[in-house]
Amino acid sequence: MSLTGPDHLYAALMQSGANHFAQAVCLQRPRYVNYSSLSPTSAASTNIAKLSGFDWTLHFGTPFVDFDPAYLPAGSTLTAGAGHLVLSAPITVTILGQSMNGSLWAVAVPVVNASAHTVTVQVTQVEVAGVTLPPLVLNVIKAVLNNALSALKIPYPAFSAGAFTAVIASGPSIGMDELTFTGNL
Amino acid sequence: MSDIIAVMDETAVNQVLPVAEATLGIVSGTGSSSLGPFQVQHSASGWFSGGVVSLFPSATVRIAECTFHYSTHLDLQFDLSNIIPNVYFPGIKIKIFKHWVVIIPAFTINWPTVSIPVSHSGTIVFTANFRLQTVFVNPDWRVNAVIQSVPQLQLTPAASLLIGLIGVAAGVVLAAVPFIGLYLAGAVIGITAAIGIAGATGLLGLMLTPLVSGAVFPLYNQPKHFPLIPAAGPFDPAVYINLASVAAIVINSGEPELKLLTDVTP
Repeated sequence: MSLTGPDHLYAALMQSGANHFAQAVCLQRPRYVNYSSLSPTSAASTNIAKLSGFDWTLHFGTPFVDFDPAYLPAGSTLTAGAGHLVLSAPITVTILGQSMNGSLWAVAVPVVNASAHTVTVQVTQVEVAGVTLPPLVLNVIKAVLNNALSALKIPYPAFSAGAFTAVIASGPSIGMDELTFTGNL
Repeated sequence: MSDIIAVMDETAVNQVLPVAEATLGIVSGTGSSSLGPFQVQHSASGWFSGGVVSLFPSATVRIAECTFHYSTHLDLQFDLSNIIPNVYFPGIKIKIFKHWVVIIPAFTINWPTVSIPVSHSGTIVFTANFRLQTVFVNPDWRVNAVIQSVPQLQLTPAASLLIGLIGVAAGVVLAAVPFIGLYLAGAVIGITAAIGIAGATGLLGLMLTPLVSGAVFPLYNQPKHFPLIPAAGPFDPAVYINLASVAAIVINSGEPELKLLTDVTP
């Protein structure tokens, strides 16, 4: 079976490549991993609203992207299946001078914007392991994540290292540690 | 396993070929050579169009029926004395009546060296195998289709045409040479005969073969510092990744496909 199948182009972003993408974003847009109610938005940090009247900060470590939905930790309340990817990252929440460290786990799906020729990632479920956070904080974290991820519009050519700009015919499909598309010029 | 895999089937590569041909643009060359008794300064330029791509593992791209559109300019320089004998008139005295003598002095006609400019345009259709070549030419990664061997160019029809054009051009140039009237037709025949089809074919080959055999069609060209996400406002600069390595091969797992393998670093 050919890779392009009935179409003429095929692009695959391997899990290793997705993680290099994530690392590049964290390094070059640090405000996507640093949030604070104490400072205005800058290239280094994004302003967030106070939490019940209290200032707080939120920091994500470098995330890990896994294209295997079974990657969720034992005991996770999250559910992931075909077409889902799993994000995990160290997380630090600091409120009232007290820092709490945990592990963020999120289930997400890739979203294609055909008219803009971009792909974004949307988080559908989130949990933090290792520390107990109130549901309000979890909801804020989920919103913060989705705001950040929706702003990361990855153009189609990135998935082929610039080899071509395709009209996507099928995909993105996730499986075998890769995210794949087929398409045509 | 590579970080990014991009694959094009033959249909897609055939769609990319015109872009590669346009990107290559006009190729040109100049030179000089001997052509029988003549010295020739020549220049040639041309561009490629059309062709049908077939892919063969592990790295061969065949382009069939590709058209090379060429223009050539020749400047043939030669000494007319090489093809027309110089004329020597020894002089004569003619006695008229008893005391009058008409003297025609001796003279020599040395034929000059002339320059004949000839321009010629045409097309050549050829088929050739190309190999995939990946190179890093700072700051870009490039995958090119580089011709594997010198293709056999069918130049005989063009050579016949060129001989005719040289004959016409020679007639125009030689008509201006003093005293050549009687020799004009012979001179033109002498010039074209001295060149001959074989000579013209050889000259065209000398001019055009390097241009065709030097063809490098760019199939992929991206900066190593690759823009992943464009800038989006004052706090969101563009995000780049580094293309650490690029490789290109042809595979056949059901149909022939061109496969580009890329490793990236943050």
